[in-house]
Amino acid sequence: MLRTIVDQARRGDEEAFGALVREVGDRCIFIAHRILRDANLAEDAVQVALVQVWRELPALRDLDRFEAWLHRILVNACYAEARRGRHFATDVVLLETDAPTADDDALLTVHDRDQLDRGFRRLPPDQRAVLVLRYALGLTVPEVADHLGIPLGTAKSRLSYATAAIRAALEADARNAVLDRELLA
Amino acid sequence: MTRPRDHDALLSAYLDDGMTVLPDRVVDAVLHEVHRTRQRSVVGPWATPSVSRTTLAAAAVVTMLALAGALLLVGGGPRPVPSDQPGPSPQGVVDPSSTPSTSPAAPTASPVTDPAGLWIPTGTMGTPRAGHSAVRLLDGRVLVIGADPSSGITSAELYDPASGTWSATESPSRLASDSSATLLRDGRVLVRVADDTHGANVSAEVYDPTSATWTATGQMVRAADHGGDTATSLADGRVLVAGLNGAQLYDPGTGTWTATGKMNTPRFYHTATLLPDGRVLAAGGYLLGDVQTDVAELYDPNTGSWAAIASMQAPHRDPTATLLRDGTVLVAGWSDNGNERQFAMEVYDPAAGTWNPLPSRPEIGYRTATLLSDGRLLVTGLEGARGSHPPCTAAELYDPGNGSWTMASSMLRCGNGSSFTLLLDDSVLAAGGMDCPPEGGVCVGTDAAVLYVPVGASPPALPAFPNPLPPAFPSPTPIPSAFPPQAGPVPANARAWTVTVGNESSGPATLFLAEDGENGIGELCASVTPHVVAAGATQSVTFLLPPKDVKGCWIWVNPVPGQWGSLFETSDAPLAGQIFIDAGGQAGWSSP
Repeated sequence: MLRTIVDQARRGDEEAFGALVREVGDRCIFIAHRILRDANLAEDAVQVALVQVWRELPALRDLDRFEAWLHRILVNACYAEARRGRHFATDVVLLETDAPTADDDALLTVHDRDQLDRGFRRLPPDQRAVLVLRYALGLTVPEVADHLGIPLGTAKSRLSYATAAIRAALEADARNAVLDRELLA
Repeated sequence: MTRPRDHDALLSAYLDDGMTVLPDRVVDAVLHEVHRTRQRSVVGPWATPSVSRTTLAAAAVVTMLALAGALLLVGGGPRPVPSDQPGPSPQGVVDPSSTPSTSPAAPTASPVTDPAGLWIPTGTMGTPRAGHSAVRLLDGRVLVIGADPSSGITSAELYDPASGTWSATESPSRLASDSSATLLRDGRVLVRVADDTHGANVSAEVYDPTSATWTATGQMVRAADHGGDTATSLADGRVLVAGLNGAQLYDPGTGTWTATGKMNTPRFYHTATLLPDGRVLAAGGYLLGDVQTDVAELYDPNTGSWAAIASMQAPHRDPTATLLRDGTVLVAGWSDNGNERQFAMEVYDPAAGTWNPLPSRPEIGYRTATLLSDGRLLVTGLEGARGSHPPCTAAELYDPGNGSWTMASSMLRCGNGSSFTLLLDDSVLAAGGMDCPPEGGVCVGTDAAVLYVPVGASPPALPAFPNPLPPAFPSPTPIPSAFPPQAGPVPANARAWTVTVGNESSGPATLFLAEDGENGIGELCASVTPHVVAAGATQSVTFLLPPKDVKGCWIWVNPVPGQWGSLFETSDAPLAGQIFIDAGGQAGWSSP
């Protein structure tokens, strides 16, 4: 079905392209918002990307490659928005929240979220992109490389750096929480 | 005791949170934009698994028609290697490029939308600037010099296209009124500086990019400055400075100034353009008493004298002059006739010694023109004759080859007073300028800079983020930077595929068999050495086709890295007819 719509759209069928936008739009905003962490920037990136998809569709040779091709254009649009957005801040200051307790069973506490947010927002957009494609879309690392149009080694190194940075942020916070409790004891 | 934490699960949970539905307003905006946006033109029999000879020949003819129009529109065709000359000076003088083009033709009635060019932000300058000078250095960086419009303090900084960032560099002394920055052949930059606060007396300084320092150079023959002089880098490396008070030559080798012939009609705020034969065309400007003139004359460096030539069809106020790829000079500007304003364009043909008017759109003119490497002009500062002012963010592309106008995407910010510099990757840096509130009010200088990236040009590098992040990031899209992009072993079962190529141009033609990449030429389809067909030769060229489906493999003629070139889709079927490269370097197809 998607293949048919893409084929019609690349031949200049605006109606088909409209159907295509509705088909892939939610996935696009899902990806863009997770990379940019800002609704306005994400919407702008999706809009720019989809218009570019329309322009460039005639150059798409292999219809089965549409999804990867779309993701590459979208992620590049996110990079551009990241450069444009003055509020794409890398040094985010978040309000302190209560530290997690040892018996906190929730998978993602508010505190975790804040720490993850702090760590994630420090990442450059290309590292955010590999994290989103790997952890939010569940792509394999070779698929991530393919969708981003980067060598496998580059994808691995970006993923490694990004996950290490995130873990460092979480573990540093955990160490601080232990220190705080020891000081209070 | 704290349990070990599953960071991957935490990260997945964190990334699970966020927007999941694209708002309808975005969908509507996309579809609205799509309705006004042309799709990229690509010639290829998509639905035909195997192409018959007849179909292929027909497709080739269509290819030629498309190449003549659509591919030119999206920036196709062979492009000259960008010269190592600076971009336009404040007087609008643009340095030469080399490849001839066709004669100008009638313009289209209204501009169509640029299919793929894009303005994107780049690094911010350290100081707001407007009406400043900018010059591209030999290493591709851009030196901007000029005053902060609010403080009036002269400062300089460098833009590095590789990182998209600006850095401060040593400043010259007080910049003389209207001094442009002139790139010398040895890579240094010449400016004129004011010796006093009134700017009546001037001297010269040169900037050495290797040491990042300014030093005074020579004693100018004529120290009194009226303002509005031009400085033109000559073919032999000397610099001609000419204006109302006379003319003089600067020799970078000796660091000395010598007097040379005065213009027959001394003027200021004129244009000065280096012609391919080494002469300098001075056109228009103002006579003493601020009278506009349509007089033009030529300076011959061999004799040191000026010769009067035919006058322009009309005087132009603050004209731009652009040396086109065919060696003619396009001069354009507003002329005042009583209360009527009219924008006129005309071309000087050095071979014939004549001025020829160009059809221009009524009531719309421009203030800046930057020659792109594909021969088109990026024009900004659009104005209407009778108060119909397009937004100051508007930009258009003018193709002197066919007279067509194309609307470029919005500049993102106001371009009034910006400097425009063609970079080595074919993008254009627009730096600084005045930001004026759309609702009216005080305009203020800006430190912002944006890049115009034409289709096929390499996207610029991302600007560096603050520490502790890595200092730079790779370009988001891999683009081959050299030919061949890759070379692997000859695949087993490769097949020979032969086509006849006739090269009618004056230079060698280079042909590749490669995939159509997202940003121009992609990977080679097989391990092949580029085929070179000598000027004037007709010969058979045999490509090695890979054993895989050959669909998607194209012949590229004279491609430039990161650019679209003239291309032909290959087929399993033998070709009837031949490829030719015409005198202008454009590829075509002749059927039997």
